Amino acid sequence: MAKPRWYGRDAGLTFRMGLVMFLLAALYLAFVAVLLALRVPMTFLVLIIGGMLVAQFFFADRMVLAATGARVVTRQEAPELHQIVDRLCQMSDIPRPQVAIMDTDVPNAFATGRDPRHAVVTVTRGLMRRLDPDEVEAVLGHELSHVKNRDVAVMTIASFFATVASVLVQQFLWFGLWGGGMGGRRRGNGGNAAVLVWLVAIVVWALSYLLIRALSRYRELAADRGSAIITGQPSKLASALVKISQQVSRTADRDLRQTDAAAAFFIVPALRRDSLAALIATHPPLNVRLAQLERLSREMER
Amino acid sequence: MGFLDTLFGRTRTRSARVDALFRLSTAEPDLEDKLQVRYGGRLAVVLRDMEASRFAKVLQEARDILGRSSNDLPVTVAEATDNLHFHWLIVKGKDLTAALTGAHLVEQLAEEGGFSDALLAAIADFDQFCLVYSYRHGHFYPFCQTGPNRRDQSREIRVSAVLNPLLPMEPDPGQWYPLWDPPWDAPA
Repeated sequence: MAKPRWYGRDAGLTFRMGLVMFLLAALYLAFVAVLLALRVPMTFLVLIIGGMLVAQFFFADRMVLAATGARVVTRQEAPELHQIVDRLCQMSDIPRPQVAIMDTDVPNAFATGRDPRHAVVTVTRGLMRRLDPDEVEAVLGHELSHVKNRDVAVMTIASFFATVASVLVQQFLWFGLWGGGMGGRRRGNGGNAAVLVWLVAIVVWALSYLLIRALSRYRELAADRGSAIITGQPSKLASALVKISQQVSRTADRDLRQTDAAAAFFIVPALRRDSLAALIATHPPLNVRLAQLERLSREMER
Repeated sequence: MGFLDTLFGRTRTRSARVDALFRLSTAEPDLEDKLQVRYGGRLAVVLRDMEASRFAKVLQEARDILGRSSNDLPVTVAEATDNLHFHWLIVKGKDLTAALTGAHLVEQLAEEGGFSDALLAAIADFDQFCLVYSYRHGHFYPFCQTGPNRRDQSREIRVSAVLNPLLPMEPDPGQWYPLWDPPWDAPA
């Protein structure tokens, strides 16, 4: 018998993800076309924001670790955690990431790093304390799937022009001055163009924000699916998600604010700071995720 | 993983590569000759646990066939589950070739059941170290445990160097994943 059917792709998810990425690309192209047509001097802007994103791309792992207070642990410090990661990497053929522990009681986990060779997978003490080992394994499978899917790179690229648009919106005042200054004799025209740029940027910003969030949610579902395939146990991830979401909603005080401070560090909202649990719009609602995992369980039994 | 798989976040598993494991039997004389080690009479196939109920049936069947005296193999079989819920089907018996035949039987049953990718590794005991066969890569690597969570890596490198011409050895030491504390003494 060949491989079971459930290893097949999820055509629906692939299609939705493709559609969102296509819309985002189309939106960005239109945005650039408008900027070019209005002769907005954006070389400078693109260079600055590009530079910031590249810097974030290369240093995000260290910055996130520093901001969250997570610490990379050696094999001797956390043998069991390393053992779980070892097995997962061995099964899934993903290069072994570094493993870090964050000293908080809120059960959570996240993955950072620009590519699989520079990845750091972090779990909190609360996660290890409250979850069974095979639930921890399922959560790590989810994070490793993010690493394998290069979600940091994908989301950084996807956010590029959204960032440009948001800077344009927020710097409208500055642009107003530019409109006045550059307009010279045709002062009125320059001002109108600046307002137009501002309006276009607002629309692009709003639309791309929604699209990026949608993309983020689809990639979460893809990572859930990846975890189920790597570990062979969709129901373990399901029970881990239930436990985490219960705990996080109950104990969201200091620790969560701390992680939010980390998010503010970066200019891109959709930074791959995968808090499995923070049920904000970057993640699909719990019941959607559970339904997908249940479906996988059923397919496995066929 | 192709570009499209990354772009769309698709996860695929690789089927097990079972073909090279049997070459261990032809390398046995060299192991005794060049490394002065003997096969310790214990070989295990390590499988990931799968939620599907058919999977338990596959394991049961493998145990039944290997345990039956009519199978013409001079082996006994034991089973253990380690702390990470991986299943160890341990084939015991002095004869390495018979043990490898037993392991092949397990592989076949897993593949027929559609659980080829649940096969993690085969591990053979050679007194002072173990040889691990990774089903993902179809490569061997040495694993020399010296204490709890400790391994003798320089010894592993030497063993690998000696075996390199004889067996397909894993070239990347980063892939030499440990299998701590093999449950060799599991009851039959």
